[in-house]
Amino acid sequence: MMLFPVLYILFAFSVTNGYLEDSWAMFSSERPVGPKCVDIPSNLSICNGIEYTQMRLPNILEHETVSEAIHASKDWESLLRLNCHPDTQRFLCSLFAPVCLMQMDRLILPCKSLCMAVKQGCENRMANYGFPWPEMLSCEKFEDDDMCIKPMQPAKPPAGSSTTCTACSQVATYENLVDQFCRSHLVLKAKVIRDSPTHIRVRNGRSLKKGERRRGVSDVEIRLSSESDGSCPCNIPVKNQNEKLLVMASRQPDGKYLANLVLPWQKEKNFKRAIHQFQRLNCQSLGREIRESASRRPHYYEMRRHNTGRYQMF
Amino acid sequence: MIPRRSCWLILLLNLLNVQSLLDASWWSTVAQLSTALAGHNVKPVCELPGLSPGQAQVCELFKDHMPAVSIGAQNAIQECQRQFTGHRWNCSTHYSTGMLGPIHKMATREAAFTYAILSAGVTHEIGRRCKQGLLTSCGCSDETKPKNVPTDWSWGGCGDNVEYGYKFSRDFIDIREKEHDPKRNHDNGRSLMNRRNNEAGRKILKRHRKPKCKCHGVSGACNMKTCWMQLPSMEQVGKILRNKYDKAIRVQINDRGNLQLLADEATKERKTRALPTDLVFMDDSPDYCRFDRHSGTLGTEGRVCKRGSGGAEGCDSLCCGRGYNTYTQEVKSKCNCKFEWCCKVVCQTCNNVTQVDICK
Repeated sequence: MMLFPVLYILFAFSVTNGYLEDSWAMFSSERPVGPKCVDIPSNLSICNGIEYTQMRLPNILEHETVSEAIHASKDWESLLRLNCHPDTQRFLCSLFAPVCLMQMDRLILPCKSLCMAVKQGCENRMANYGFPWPEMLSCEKFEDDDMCIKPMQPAKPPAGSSTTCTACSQVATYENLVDQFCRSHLVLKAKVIRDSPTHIRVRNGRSLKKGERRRGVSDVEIRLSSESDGSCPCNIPVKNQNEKLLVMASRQPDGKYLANLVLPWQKEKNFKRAIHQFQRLNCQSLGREIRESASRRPHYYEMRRHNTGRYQMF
Repeated sequence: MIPRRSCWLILLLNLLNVQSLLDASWWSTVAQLSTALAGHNVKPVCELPGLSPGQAQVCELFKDHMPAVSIGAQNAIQECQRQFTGHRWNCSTHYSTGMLGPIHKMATREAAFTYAILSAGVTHEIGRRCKQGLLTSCGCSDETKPKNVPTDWSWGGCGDNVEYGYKFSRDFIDIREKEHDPKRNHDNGRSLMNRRNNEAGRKILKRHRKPKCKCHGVSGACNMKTCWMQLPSMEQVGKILRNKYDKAIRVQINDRGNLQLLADEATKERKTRALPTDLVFMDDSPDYCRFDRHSGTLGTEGRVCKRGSGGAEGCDSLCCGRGYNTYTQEVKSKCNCKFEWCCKVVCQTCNNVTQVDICK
């Protein structure tokens, strides 16, 4: 007779035990979806070479997937290659692939000063091609505080020396060469002499402007810096006096030339492609062509994924 | 004679206990689904005790949906707790008994809110995962362009698939309320109420969708946009349902087995029927002041309250007049954080001494 109560008590206890066991396992279950860290893929080209490896999703531009961010960032690769400001990559990458830090939830935004610096350097050049500074990059929404990404600190030049001439620190990207070509009155493949701290002299050059092919140019003096009394280093790695350079300059109101770009002549693919393009380039319609080519690209948001199967309960 | 009577009493008590456990653990089971799928549990996925036979079948057919059901339920409970922070009933989980998720043995307006937000949470998560391509049987929303989107903006992208989420949530959750489960007493009124509130949650999600538009390209004026339909966030859903909770409508079961407004309710509100998105309840709420196993209330003992506040979180209200104890608490936290390129955050540690009031 005493056996029955014991059995029932055991039964009740085992039932309770089952639920306790199930409930504790719950704490290791999948966590609710929130912002997350993912590796920056190599085809997010605007961030190649950036000093961090993980990005946060969704990003600052509300892209929810890596592929969406990649697709949207392609519109900005040309701007990056224009090299209109040294911090362009840091700024664009902080928007498309923001720094992801596991220990904290808040977004690391670019500083307003970083945004303004890039805008100041790039806005005019974008406007040349019909692209006003876009709303999505508006600097109004950023703030300068301790938790934002600051502009790059310029390296302090040695005493008695000044910064390298802008014309001599250009990059040989297709976009930059084509852009500089359209803004220059004088475009030469030339041998030059550095005959004063502020000027170079063309010793023997050939014009690359359309319609001016094979026109010989010699004994032209070009100022390196726009600042008065500006003397700046222009350390082109010239092996000997016969090395040829690509020289671009604008004619000033006083009739003299101011250098826009001085680069050694190269056999690199993008360089050759740009040089070849000089003969057929129509600078008046370049902006329109760029805008139209941008518009022709298929948009990420129009690539729909349709149902793979019909919903059926039974 | 005496020993026999005690044997039968113990048996009866255990049976009643089993029934209430099964009922109350329904959403606890849902929360465990992803655990089982993750392999932390030896128990087969679709044989968890809280699932009804029909639900077990759906679970087997749509195994890849179960993590979404679980996460949707968890998100809903989090939002529920956020909406009722500082209130006597705060959507707490009853950890001491090992059961997770709110327990509602009575057909109160709190039960109505809970069922509605859980149903909405599951619908939301399923619809979102369709959009992300995580479920094999569904994809982007098929919806056509609404009239309030400007004609020169394109309609495309990948919208949250609320239609699919709605159907799945309805079929999976409501199937339980339609089945006759021999393990529990068939309470038609409660089942109808649950279905009604589940449907209200789903409908609110559906009715508050709106187009989401994004700029693309290097456009300055953002005149190139593509739009698609997007679900409201769970925060927005919680806010809407909270309003519905405040205006919940009392109903009863009539002779023909249907829900019906109470006579005085109809007179007072001057309406003869409730909106499809209204929450309905049948029982008065307890005061939630004391722990009561029978009614499933946790009580407010040990809750943090706010001294001097006149709102729900104030000590006078939250502690139900029992008073409170004050404790001194020292909290270390990070402060004066700075981001350094590249890439780390450097913080100082600050000590803050605060006082915490806890209900007796």
